[in-house]
Amino acid sequence: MSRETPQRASRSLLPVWDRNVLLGLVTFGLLVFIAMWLTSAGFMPGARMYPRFVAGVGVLVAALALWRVWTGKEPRGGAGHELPGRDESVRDVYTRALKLVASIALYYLGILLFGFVLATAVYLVAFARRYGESWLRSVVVAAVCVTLVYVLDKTIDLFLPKGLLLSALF
Amino acid sequence: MLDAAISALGILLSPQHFGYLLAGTAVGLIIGILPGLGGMVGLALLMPLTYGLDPVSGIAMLIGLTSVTTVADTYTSVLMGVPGSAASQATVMDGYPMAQRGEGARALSASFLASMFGGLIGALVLTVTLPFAVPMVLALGTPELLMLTFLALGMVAVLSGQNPYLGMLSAVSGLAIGTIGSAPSSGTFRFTFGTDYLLDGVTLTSLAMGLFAIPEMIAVLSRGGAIAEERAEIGRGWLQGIRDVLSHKLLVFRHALIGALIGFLPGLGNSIIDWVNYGIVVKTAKDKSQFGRGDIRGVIAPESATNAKEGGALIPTLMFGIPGSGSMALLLAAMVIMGVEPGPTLIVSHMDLVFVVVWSIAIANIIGTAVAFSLSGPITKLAFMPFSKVMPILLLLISLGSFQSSQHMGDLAVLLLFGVVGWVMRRTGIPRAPLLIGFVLSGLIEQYLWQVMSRYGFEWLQRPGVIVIGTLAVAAVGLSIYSKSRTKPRPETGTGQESVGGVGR
Repeated sequence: MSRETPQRASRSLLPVWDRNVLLGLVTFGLLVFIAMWLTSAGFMPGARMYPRFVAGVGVLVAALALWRVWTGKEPRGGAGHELPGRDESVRDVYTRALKLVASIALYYLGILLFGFVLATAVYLVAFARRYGESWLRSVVVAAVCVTLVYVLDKTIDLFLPKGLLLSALF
Repeated sequence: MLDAAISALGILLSPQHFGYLLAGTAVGLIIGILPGLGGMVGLALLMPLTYGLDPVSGIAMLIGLTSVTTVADTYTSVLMGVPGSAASQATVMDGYPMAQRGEGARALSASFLASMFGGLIGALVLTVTLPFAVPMVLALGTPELLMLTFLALGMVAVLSGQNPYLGMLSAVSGLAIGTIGSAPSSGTFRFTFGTDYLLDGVTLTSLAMGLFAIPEMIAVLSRGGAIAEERAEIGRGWLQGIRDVLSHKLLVFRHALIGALIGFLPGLGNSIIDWVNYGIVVKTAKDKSQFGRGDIRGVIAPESATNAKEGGALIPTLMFGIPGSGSMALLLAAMVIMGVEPGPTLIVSHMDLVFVVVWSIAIANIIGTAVAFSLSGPITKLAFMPFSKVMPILLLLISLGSFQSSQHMGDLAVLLLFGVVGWVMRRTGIPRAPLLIGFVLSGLIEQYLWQVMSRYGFEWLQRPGVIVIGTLAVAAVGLSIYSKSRTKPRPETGTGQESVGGVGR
């Protein structure tokens, strides 16, 4: 594969950050399909045929896609949401997205440790405060939502995780 | 068939089933109003509630939802210039200029009514095809069905979005994710990495909500949470909008038929349908001067077409068990969960359930339109609500729904993982719908492949039906790739939803 050139990069409508992420993702896909092909060799015949078929097609398609992305021929339409070349800092978008994902991950960690009800209440208050709501409004919204979840839990038998720590304590 | 139709209507109108239809319609309207979210997110949200439901209630609820999201998504398109979903991108072209000059109500009422007629015509198209369905599905054996599945998946892969190779990669990735868990033919556990959670494979609800709901939240909030900087008032012209539709009856009929036809073809989703229909109405109009400046025909044509698509898209889903769009994939999966197997068996043995689908589309469209007209004031307020207020509640519902699929923390991990993957796919132009459809079809393809290889070896490839469908598949995929490589890329216009329904459907 020849070296990346500015012309190739500029032919793609994506900002450089997105393009690098895309290249990484497609390369990862290619590696996964190769690993899938190799791993599935150890399965019983009945379980082997389909993964090998998928992995074979996957390697071919991922290699083609990688070549298309590398040469700047794809993606052709730019990013899914943002107009290409839109006046925004792509780095800021990634940073904000990362923070949001981290906050959701923390929320789920909270569910694992403290249970759904408590973690949800804390998350809702924290989120509302982050976006400028007053303490009173944040707490009211959280209380209403948690109450609704609790009522749903009792009426239609939802299963809500209790949390490892709380289960151990009580 | 008439007996089945009448019996299905009777069943659907019982208080319990009708209640579920109303509930689905209400959720569909709310989801449709919120920009960026559409039928797919709504379906994924409601899917956990269908576990244990009787098929009629579940189908009525889900069809009620999918039928009205494209009615409600017009609010933001007309009043804010931001498409509520992929299905209403073209509506912005003339709807928003109308609202800017004080005719928002006229554009909205014309859009609602055109959508309703479109939905009804779509249901009619589905009904008309049913008499031909039984002999057609009975003529196909497993090898032909396998090749038909490849044809559909191939078309979805290359037609959704503007990047056919990335679309194919997305579809094959979906097939690969579908191999995780127990092998149907031998019970061997594959790619479970030693975890108990993966023994049953990745759960569809978590994957679907991860791919389609979480990325919308990340995308809006990572841009600061603002959906639109300006908005127009609702203005005047409710009655004029109704008169506009009635005076353009043929236009509504023509574009609804085109919408249903395009909906039938796998891979051609809402954003294709609305732009194709917008293009046709502009091209065939004698006076083109007002298009783009607020011509009511530019609202009526795409709206009637996108809502008619539902009837067309249900034809391959119900007849062959092959979904042509992301929302149809979810619907199909939900039906399987409820114990209904779409495909030849359904058509031959359970025609009443098929008519439940038809009636649900028709009734949901009428109710949805009536609600959209009568509650336009409060609904508009909901549309203008900042996303930062809606997002945490949505996240709560999504997490709750995802967790119910197997009641394991792994569901939430899968949700978040595919949320991040979906956001990256969205940003980088990889269509997400093929991944979901590939995942849903993976089990079916493995089952078909195992059957045909065990029974025929490679000789199945020599059957005339397989050769014809295979040639069609190669030609369709090849031609699509060729035509896409010849056309100039167009920037996406707003919602980040790919053509196969994206979130919108």
